[in-house]
Amino acid sequence: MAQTPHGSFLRHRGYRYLKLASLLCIVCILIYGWHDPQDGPNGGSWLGYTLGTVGAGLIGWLAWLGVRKRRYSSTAGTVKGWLSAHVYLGLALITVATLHTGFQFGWNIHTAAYVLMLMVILSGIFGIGVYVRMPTLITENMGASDRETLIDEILDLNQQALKLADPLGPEVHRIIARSTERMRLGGGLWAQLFGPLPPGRRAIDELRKIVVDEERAANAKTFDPQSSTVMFMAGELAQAKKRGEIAEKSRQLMELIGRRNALIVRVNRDIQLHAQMQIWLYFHVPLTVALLAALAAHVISVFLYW
Amino acid sequence: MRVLIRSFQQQGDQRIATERGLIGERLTIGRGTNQDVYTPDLRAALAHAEIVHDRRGPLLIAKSANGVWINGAPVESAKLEAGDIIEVGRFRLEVLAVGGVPELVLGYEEKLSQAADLQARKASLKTRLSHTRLSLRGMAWGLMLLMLAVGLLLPLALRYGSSPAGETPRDRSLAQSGIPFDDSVWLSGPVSSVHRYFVEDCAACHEKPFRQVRDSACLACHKDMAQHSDDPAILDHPAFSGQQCTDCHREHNGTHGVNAQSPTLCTDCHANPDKEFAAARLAPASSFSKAHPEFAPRIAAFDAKTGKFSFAKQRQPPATLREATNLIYPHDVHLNPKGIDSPEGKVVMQCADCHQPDSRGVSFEPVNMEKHCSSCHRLDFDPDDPDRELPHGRPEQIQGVVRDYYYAKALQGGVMDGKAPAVVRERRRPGETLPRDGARAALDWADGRARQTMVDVFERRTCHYCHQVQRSDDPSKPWTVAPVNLQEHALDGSRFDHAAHQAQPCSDCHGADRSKTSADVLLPNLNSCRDCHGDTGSDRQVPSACTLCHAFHIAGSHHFGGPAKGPKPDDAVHGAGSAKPAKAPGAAPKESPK
Repeated sequence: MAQTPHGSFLRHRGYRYLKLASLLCIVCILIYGWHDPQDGPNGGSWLGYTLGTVGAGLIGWLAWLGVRKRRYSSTAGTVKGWLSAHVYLGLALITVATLHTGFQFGWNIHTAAYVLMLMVILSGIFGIGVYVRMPTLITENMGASDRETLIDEILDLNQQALKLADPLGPEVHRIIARSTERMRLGGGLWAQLFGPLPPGRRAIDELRKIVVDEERAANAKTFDPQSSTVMFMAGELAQAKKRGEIAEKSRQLMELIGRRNALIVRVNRDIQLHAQMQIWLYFHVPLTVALLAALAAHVISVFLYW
Repeated sequence: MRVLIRSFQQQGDQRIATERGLIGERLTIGRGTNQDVYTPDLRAALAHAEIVHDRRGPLLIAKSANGVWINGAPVESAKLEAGDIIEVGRFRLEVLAVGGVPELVLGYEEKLSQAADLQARKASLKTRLSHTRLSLRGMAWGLMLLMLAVGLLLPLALRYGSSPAGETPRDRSLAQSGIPFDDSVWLSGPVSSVHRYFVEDCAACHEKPFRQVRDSACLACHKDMAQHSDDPAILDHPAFSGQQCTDCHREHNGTHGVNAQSPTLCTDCHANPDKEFAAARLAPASSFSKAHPEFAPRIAAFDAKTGKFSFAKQRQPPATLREATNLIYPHDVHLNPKGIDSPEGKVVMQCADCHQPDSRGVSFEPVNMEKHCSSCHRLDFDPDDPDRELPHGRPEQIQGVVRDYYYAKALQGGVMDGKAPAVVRERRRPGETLPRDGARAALDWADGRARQTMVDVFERRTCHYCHQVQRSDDPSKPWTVAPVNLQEHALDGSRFDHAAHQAQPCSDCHGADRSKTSADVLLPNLNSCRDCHGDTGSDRQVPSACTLCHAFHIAGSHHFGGPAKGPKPDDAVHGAGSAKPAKAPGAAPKESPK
């Protein structure tokens, strides 16, 4: 996982923060094991207060990443260093906070804060996973091109297709007009996360039928041995030529729509990968804000009723 | 059908309308230049749609199989109403009026230029999560407000917004429970079972916000509480000064009650008592299973000179101890499984025949001669009159009782004893008195018999069976019986509940069936307790906190930090039990009771 360039924040400075976080966990566990308060492990013993303070401090600092990463002018460490510390100290927080609870849980704001914290961390772990994996998939899909250019190209291809279809009669125009109307790029939450249905084959199938029909008609008339009248022959020939042209242009249209559809698939894949890469933030951030509120309620309540 | 077409055009800041009227059977719309309404957009068909008029009003009919978009949905045909919007590519037709004169007024507008239309279509694509209805800010605000409302504002409002009336915590708690909301989300853990009846009244203990619970809150109810050592000397010790109730009695930690279960409360001092309380000479105790002093029963010694017992704690294995009882009682003989001789033949005795539980079942009623011994150990003294018995426990009366008995016999006469003088043997008629000349002989006989019987009773059988009897020089009390010490519950520092161990046979702990002398101390040693009892947290033995057997410095009148009232320092005692051996820090240990 950490071999990909996008996972390099995990390896930052030779796993400096992994070591620091591990040390923190080990120290906390050892003290917890040694500590034997007379009323059992709980958040109100001196160790409980200490772990609580460390945990609350960590939560505050971890949440500060949201502010720090937007401050491009800040010189307090690199964003990569912050992210590395954010990940490992966030994981260490599981140990610190769990020991702070003394394994006392209930239906109250205190356990609610703890559960919210776990949910934030779990969504963060999901985030690490996608941040390590998704960029590679995105690059594989898009290559050197970017989404804006591809969308422009798709719209341009639609316009070209309509222009090409216009002289080919109302039926071909109708097929293309519908195809451009029905085209789906992105969409709602579900469509983005799981991809809209790939473009249907209907337009191409219909065009192919027209091509086949027209070609058959053109060939049949051209080489009809029963034809005898020269004028009739000439008229038939002209019509046959026209039909051949229709078939040829329809073929071009099919190619055009096919190219467009391939682009739609790529753009939609890109939208999907980005959505999947970012959806965790829609849990991580609001849950963090909720956690800060619950943490405030927790701290205020335990000291208000000291 | 008459149609008025009102075309709108944007020129600079102004929107200019031009109108033209049309009369015909149908109004055609499309990209074809021959159409009545010309919509040059490649997405539109040459003949895109037409509007006809029938009795019901204007009707739009799609000419392309793709349908026509009216009000955002494709239709084959539709009856037009005022306000309907017909979209043909980037052109927009609005039905302004129907049913009047003319029958149809149609607004016509090119919404956007071709380039702008392309841009608008691009912009309308939802390609990012932020384009969807999912809102990071919305979710964050929603969750945060929910947490603040439920977790902070509601409990705060209940605490400070309402003031339930009531004199006692119980009354206020009842008043509070009438409110449909509660602030139990703030409970950090289950309230102990004893305090649950006023659980709603947080302020009963948490008197002031942001201030730790103080003794005053506890003493508001527990005003008579006085069970934390009678010994002002120990209360003045630095280890105890400044102690608060909550230092040991922790709430919100479970239902078991606020008394600490952890042994550390005791072992913090008792593991190494010499560190702080060297003068008390306490044996160290840090763990019941590994480091706990042997029992120290009070053992009696008898001083023959004063004729009194003295008691002293002996901390040795009970099997090696000997206690003075002044009683001859071999347990093994009485518990012989083959039985023991009795007036009714062989009897197999059980422990419970003599040791009967007291009313609480904790200990036993004292063994009593009349109740437990006399059915076998009869106090008769004259084989001719086996039903006549001596009183027990009053040796000084025995001389009188025996003499009176034989004097009466001599007076009555008719004694069947060949060695007796004739005057004693003679039967007397009713009303006949003792002849004067035989009186001396009769009294001498009676005195002789009485002396012989008493020697027999005191020195050969009856008393002699069980008691230490000594001949004395005092003619009024020719024999003395040493006072008896019945062994009783001899541990001062602990409680032992026999009722809780009812299921165990006595012999599991007490080796009575092998005991040949009453001097044996039949208290089991500590290891026999360890067979079943282990430290707190043990999962293979009965987890036993210190307080299972020991009380915390229970005493009469002091709690930590309380005023020094009660017994004077001279009389102070330290340790469990009420008025037993006194040891105070700084005071020399005393091993004997007062």
